[in-house]
Amino acid sequence: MTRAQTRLDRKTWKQQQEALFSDPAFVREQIMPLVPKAADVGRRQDWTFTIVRNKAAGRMTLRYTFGSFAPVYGKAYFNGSDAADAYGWLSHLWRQGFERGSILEVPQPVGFVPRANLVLMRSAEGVSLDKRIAANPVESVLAGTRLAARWLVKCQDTAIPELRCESPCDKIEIFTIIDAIAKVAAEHPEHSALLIDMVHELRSLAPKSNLSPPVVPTHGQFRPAHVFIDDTHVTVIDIEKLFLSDPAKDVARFCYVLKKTCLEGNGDGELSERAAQEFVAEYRAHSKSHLENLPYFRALLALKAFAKLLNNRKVNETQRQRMCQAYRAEFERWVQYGLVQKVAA
Amino acid sequence: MGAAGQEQFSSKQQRFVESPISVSSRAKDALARKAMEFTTADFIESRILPLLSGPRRANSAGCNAEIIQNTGTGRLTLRYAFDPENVVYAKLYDDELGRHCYEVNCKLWRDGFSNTGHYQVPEPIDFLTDHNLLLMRGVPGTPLGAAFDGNSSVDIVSGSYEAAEWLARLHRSTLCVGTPDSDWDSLKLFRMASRVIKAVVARPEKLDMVRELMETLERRIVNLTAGRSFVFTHGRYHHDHVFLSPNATIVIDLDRCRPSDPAKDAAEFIRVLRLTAFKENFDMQRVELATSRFLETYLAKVPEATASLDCYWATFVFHSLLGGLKKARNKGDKSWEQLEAFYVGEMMRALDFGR
Repeated sequence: MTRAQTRLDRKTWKQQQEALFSDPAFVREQIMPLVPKAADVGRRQDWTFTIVRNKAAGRMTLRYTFGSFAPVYGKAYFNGSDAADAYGWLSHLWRQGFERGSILEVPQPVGFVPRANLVLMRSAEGVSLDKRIAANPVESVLAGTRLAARWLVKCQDTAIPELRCESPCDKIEIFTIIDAIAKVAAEHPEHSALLIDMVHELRSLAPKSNLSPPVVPTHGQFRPAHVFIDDTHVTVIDIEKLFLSDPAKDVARFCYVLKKTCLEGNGDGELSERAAQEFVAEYRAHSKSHLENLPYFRALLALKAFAKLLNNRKVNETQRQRMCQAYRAEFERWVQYGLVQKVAA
Repeated sequence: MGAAGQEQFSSKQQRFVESPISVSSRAKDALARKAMEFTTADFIESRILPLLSGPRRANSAGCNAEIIQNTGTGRLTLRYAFDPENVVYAKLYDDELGRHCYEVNCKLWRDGFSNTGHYQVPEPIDFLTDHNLLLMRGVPGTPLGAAFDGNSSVDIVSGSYEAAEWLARLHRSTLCVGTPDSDWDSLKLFRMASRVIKAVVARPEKLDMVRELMETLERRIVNLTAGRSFVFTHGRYHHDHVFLSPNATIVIDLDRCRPSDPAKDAAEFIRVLRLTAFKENFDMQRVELATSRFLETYLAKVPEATASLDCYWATFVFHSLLGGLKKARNKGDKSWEQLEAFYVGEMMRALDFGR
């Protein structure tokens, strides 16, 4: 199936599901029985339905409210197996010490509607870390990143039955980067020499082998927007892309998104850098993982962002220049650090 | 072409192609300067002859020493011809692979690939650590690739059978030297990134085609699991490295031997064989037979290679396609359009393999 066909199929699916999820009969028969107290066993009429997020391909996030009760969130998936996995993992983590009151938490699973590939869960309490960074004192932000690190360590230490192992080439995201730079090179041939040099440098940091290091359960989308802090509790959402993979991937992505958010929003670069350092230090303090491939994944994400930015028509030229410079500097920094680390090893 | 190749084939190689101030050109010049010392009578007397004692003792008088290959790859090959029965090849390295190659060569020689059997490697003589110079005996026979040059003494079908038998023996050996290959190295995926950039810069109108083919490959490659079993592989298994004679089948160029996916060698062999045949206007029906004979013979003994052969074969062809796209040149009487169609057809055939 081609990319275009896949896109079309998913678009059609989304249109159909939007109609289904707001259908009163569907809500009465499929949703309300899962939240009997709030829904008053199907008698309640003051329910609402909202699509919260509909950007990602193949999935969407929705919200149901029932009067003054806490809302219920739904995550719908194009693929039935993705939905079943997401519900299974969420339920498993909930039972394995991530339940409400455990400090390091996941949203409470409410139910699964197989015919609609829909997973329902309670809302995560608190404020997401990306918003917290923008509005809170430094110490509060750093405390939040430390909690995030501890959640990640706990997740990566949890045994998850039958979790698939990410294939070696998927793990290093090599095809994602080739695709990104192919598009840039075709449109901006003047950058091709630089991109080739960057690919060579990235290769010098690549993991040693298919089996190095030992894999752990990874979240797959561990970013500040998915981490909700409520005083001393942390709840992490989007438990849907779990794999056995390199532990450094989650760490790298979290730090990279901190930097990206700051760059895109003209935020406090020093704070995002400090938060990233605090996150890594806390992670290292509690984890057995050596993060030997952290430089590779940091450099990879910087290169990907750099390449995508070169092709991004929505960004004005001044901002593009500034961000390109920052990503390139970030890339070089991690290449240098990685090479020093390799020599030392 | 490796170190122990025959004179008839070696003479086809370029010897000193001068090129601009590229890195490879500088490395080539540095190796050539270093190698001049190895062709002197003093060096031959003091370092080579003492290693050739015994029944095949050579005499320095009349030894013809020459550099026969230096193509900028960081390897330089010398040939010492004492007499027709006494030919020694030396390979000079600019990295650590010389020592590795010598270790592999010795172990394979001891592990059943010596001149007492039919399937052999060149006889190792020594590794001169101070010069990073590997010495080995020349090998008898004709390279399988001579069939494409019109040498009627070489039959591509029976030669491919011999190549398959040799490879199966290597892959079934218990030898293990070197670190296991990663999938991104064995599939040359970082090099693919550079080649994709060069290809789409030269032919931006081919971007969609390149991306679609790459996506097709990716869907297969992501199915390769981390823990699948590896074997001891050759790493450069081409028809030009397989020497055939009535009494022996000998494979040269052991520089890149390491544990890896067995399909790597098999895929490389059939890719190069079929592409060379197509470019050289060879009888493609014979090549089909050769391909079948090679695969049947090899896979009967190394069946686990079947699982990943499609990935490796298709990926290696894709590399060739990218290299060709960059230049988009005709080859012989084949237009670029014919070559491109051949590459794409070969990729699809590879992906259909075993399904």
